[in-house]
Amino acid sequence: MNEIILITLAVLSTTVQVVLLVIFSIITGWFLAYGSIKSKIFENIYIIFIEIFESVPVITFFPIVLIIFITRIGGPLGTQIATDFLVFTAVVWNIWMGEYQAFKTVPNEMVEVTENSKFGLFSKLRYLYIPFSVPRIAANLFPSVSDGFFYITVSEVFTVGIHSYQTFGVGSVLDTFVADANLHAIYTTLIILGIFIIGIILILREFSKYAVSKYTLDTDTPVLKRGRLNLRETTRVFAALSKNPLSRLSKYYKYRETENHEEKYEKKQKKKKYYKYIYAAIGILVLILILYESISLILSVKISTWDILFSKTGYLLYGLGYDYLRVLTILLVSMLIAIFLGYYLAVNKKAELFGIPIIQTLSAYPAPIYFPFLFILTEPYIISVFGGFTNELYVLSLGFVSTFYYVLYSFWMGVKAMPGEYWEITRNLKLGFFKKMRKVILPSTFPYLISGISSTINSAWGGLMIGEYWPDIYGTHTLEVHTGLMKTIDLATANGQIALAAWGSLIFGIVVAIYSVIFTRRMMDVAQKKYVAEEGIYSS
Amino acid sequence: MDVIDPDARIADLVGLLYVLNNIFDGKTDLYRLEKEMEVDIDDLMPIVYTAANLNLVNVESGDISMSEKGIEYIKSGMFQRKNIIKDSLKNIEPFKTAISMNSFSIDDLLDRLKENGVQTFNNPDGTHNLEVILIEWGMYSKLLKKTDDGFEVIS
Amino acid sequence: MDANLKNQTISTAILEAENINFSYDNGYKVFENINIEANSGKFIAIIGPSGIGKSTLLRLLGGFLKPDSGTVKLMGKPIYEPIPEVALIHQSIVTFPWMTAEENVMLSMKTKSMSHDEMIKKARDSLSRVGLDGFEDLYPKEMSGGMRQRVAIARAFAADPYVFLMDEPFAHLDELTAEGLRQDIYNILFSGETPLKSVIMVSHNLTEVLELADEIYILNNIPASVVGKVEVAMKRPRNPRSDEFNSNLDMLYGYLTPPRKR
Repeated sequence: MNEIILITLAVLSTTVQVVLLVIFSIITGWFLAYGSIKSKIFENIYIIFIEIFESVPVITFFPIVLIIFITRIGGPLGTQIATDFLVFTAVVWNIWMGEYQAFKTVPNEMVEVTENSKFGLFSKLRYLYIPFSVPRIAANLFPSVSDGFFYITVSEVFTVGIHSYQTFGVGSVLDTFVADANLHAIYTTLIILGIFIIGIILILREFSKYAVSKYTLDTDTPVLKRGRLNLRETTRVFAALSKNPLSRLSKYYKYRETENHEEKYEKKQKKKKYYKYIYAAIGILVLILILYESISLILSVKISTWDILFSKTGYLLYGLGYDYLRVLTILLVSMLIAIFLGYYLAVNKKAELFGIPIIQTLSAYPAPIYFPFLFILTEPYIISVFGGFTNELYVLSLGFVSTFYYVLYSFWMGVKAMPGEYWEITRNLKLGFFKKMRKVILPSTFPYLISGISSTINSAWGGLMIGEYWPDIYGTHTLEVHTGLMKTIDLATANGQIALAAWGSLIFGIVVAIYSVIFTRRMMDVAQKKYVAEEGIYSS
Repeated sequence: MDVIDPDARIADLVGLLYVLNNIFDGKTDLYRLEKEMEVDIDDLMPIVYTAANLNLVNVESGDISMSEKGIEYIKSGMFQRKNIIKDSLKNIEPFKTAISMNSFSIDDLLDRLKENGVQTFNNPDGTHNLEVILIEWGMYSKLLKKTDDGFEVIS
Repeated sequence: MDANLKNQTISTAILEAENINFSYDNGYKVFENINIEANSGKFIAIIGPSGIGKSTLLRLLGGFLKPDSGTVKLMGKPIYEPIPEVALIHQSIVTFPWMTAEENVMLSMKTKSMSHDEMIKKARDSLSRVGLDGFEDLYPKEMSGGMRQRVAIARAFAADPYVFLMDEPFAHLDELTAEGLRQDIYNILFSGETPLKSVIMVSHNLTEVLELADEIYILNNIPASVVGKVEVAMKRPRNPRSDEFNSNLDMLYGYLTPPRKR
C-alpha cells in the first residue's frame, strides 16, 4: 500500500511540475508577446531567439544546463532547477510562439475598440489579448505537455562523471524499482502514470473544446476581401497553425490572418511610448547578458582544451552524419505510416473516434518510461533475427516511438482541412486511391506535412539522444550504437567531459539551425506559395 | 494618366457593355445602371472607370454611353475582342510602362511605375493586385506572356 | 432637442477637420487639404470611389491616426489620440466573443470611475436603447450579424460619445437586415436622450447615404480631396423610388465622373 502512495506521489510530483512549467510558460509568454507587438527591437531579438531555440532539439541544452545549474548552484536545488529548466525548454517555445502569433493577429478593429475606451496595458491584456490567445494556447498545450513528460522522466535521473543526480518523480522512482527488479511496483507505476496521462488528456480535450467554443472569432470580423482571396501568410503563422491538434482550430487560424498587413503603411499610430522603450531596453539587456556569458565561457576554456575540441570536430561531424541517416530512416517510416493511417483515420469516422484518443494517449505517454520493458520483452527474438543489427534497430525504434505522432497528426489534420470541393472532384473523376493520393491529397496536405516533418525531426533527436547510449537499460545491459554524435555527447557527459559534450552540442545546434534555415523554411515557403488548398477554392 | 483599376475584371467589362447595350440601348444614367445591376459604387466604378479609360464607353456628369469602339467590341467574336483590348491597353497603365520595359519582373515594374508617378499599386496589396491585373488583362488579351521570373511583351 | 443643443448648432461645429494632409510611410499622399465639419444634429456621410481612403479618413477624424498637418477638433478642442467621446463603429462587426452582450457593452466603461452596479445599469440601458433588452446574457456567437452590430452600437453608446464615426456599418449585413437596421439607427441616434450630437458615416452605398444623410461630402482624385459637398433637403422618410431621390443619386454620380486621374 505504501508503495502505491509513493508511486502516486511521484507521478503527482512529476505531473505538477510539468503543469506548473506550462503555466509559467503561458504567463511569461503573454508579457513577452505584448513586448514584441509594442517594440520592434524587442520583437526582432525575441523572434530570432524563439526560432533558433524552437528548431534546436531540447537536448542541446543539456551540457549548458549542467554547467550552470549543477556546478554553479549545486545541491538538490541545483538538480531540481536543472530538471525543470530542461523541461521548460521542451514546453516553452511552442507556447511562446503561439502567443506571439495570437497577439500579432488580433484584428486591428478590436484594438481600436480598446483604444477608443483608452485602455491601459493591463486592461488591454485582460480584455483583449489574453482571451484572444486562448485558442492558440489550447492548440499548443497538447504537444507541450507530452514533450514535457517525455523530458522530465529522463531528466529526473542523470549521471555526470562519478556523480549521479536525481530529483523525486516518476522517473527516479521507477529507476529505483528497476534497480531492485521490483516487477510489481514497476507495473503499478506504469499503470498509475497511464491513468494520470489519460486524465490530463481528457482535461486538455475539454479545455480545447471550451476554448474553441468561447474564444474563437467566427464571422465577427471577416478577413476575406470581397471577391478576392489573398492569403499571404508568414512562415511563423503557418508553422503554428499546422501544429494544431484540432482540425477546427487549424481551419480557424487559416483565416485569422488579418495580420498587420497595413502595419508599415499606417504610420504614426498612437502608442504608449514608455512601454516601447522599456521593452526595447529589456531586449537589448538580454542580448548583452547572453553575449557576456558566452564570451566569458569561451575565455574560460583553456587553449589546450580548444586544441582537443578542434581535433575531435571531424569525428563529431562524422557521427552527426550517421545520426542524420538515422533521423531520415525514422522519418521515412513515420511518413509511410502517417500517410496510410492518417488517411484512414480522416476518412473513417469510427476509426477516428477511437484512433485519435488512443494515439494522443500513446504520444503523451513518455517513451523512455515504457521502452525498457519493450526492450526486455522483445530483445531475445529480435537478436535471433537481426543479430548485430539489433541495437541499431532498437535505437531507431525509440526514435520512432518518440516522434511519429507528429507527422501522423499533421497529415490527419491536413486531410481533415481539405476543402470538401476537392473530395467531390476526386469522386467525380473516379480517381483510384494512389492517384487520389498523388494528385490531390498529398499536394493539398503538403504544408501540414512539412510542419509535421520538422516537428518529427526535432523530436527524433530526443529519442536518439536517449537511445544511442543508454547504460543499464535493464540490469547491467547497456543499449548503444557503434557511431553517433548523440552517443559521443552522452558518453562525454557520463564521463564528466563537459567541454566535449558542450562542443558537440554546439556543433549540433549550429548544423540543425542552418538546416532549419535552409531546408525547413524554404519548404515552408514553397508550401505556402503553391499548396495552400484553400486558395484553390475561389469564393466571392 | 489612365490606369486599369485593380478591381476591374474582364468579365465585368463584358457584363457592363452587355447591360448598357442590350437593356439601355447604349446610354443611361450611372445610378440607373447601379440599380439595374444591383451593385454599389465599389463594385460598379472600377469597371466603369476602366472601360472609360479603354475608350469603350464615355462617362461624363453621371451619364454613361457606349463608344464606337465599345459597340464594335460587343459585335465581335472572342478573338477580335482580345485584339481590341490589346490595342487599347497600350496607352494605359500599368501596360504602357510594361511595354516600355519589354521584359520585367513584377517588382521591377512596380518600381518603374512609382518612378512614373503611378500610385495605384503603391500600397500593401499592390504587388498582388498588379500581378492579377497583368494576368487578367495583359495575358488574356495576348499582350503579355509569362516568363520564369516575370512577364514579357509578345511582339 | 433642448435649447442648449440648438445653441451649439448655430455657434460651433461638433467635430471639425481643418486642412488635413496625410501620406503613408512610403510617400503615397492620400489626402490633401481635407475640410469637414459636422454640426450638431447632423448626419454626415462621406463617399468616394473604392480605394480613395474613406476608412483612413474616419480614423484620422477619430485620432487613431495622426495627420501630417491639420487638426481635428471636438467642440473646439484638438484631438490627438482616440477618446471615448468620439466612438468608432466598424464595418467588420466587432464584438468580443468571450464576453456576453452586457459584458461587451460594459467594456467601454472600464476606464471610467463607476461602480459595478452603475455599469450594469448603464449597459442595460444602452442595450435596450438599441432594442436588445433581454439579450444581456447572450454571447455574440448566439446572435445574428444584425444583432451583433446592435451590440457594438450599444457599446459605443455606453461611453456617452458626442460623435459616432461609422465605417460602412451595414456593409456586412444582408440587404434586408441592413435596411431594417438603417431605419432603426437613425431614430436611435437622434432620439435626444443621449449626449450624441453628430454622426459621420462613410459608405460606398449611395442609396444608403441618401436615405440617411443630411450632408454628403464627396471625395475624389489622387491625392483625395473634397470635390463636392451636398446638402440633402429631402423630407424623411425618404423613398428610394421617388424621382427626387433619383435626381439626387444622379447628382452624386456626377461628382464621381469622369474617371479620376492618378
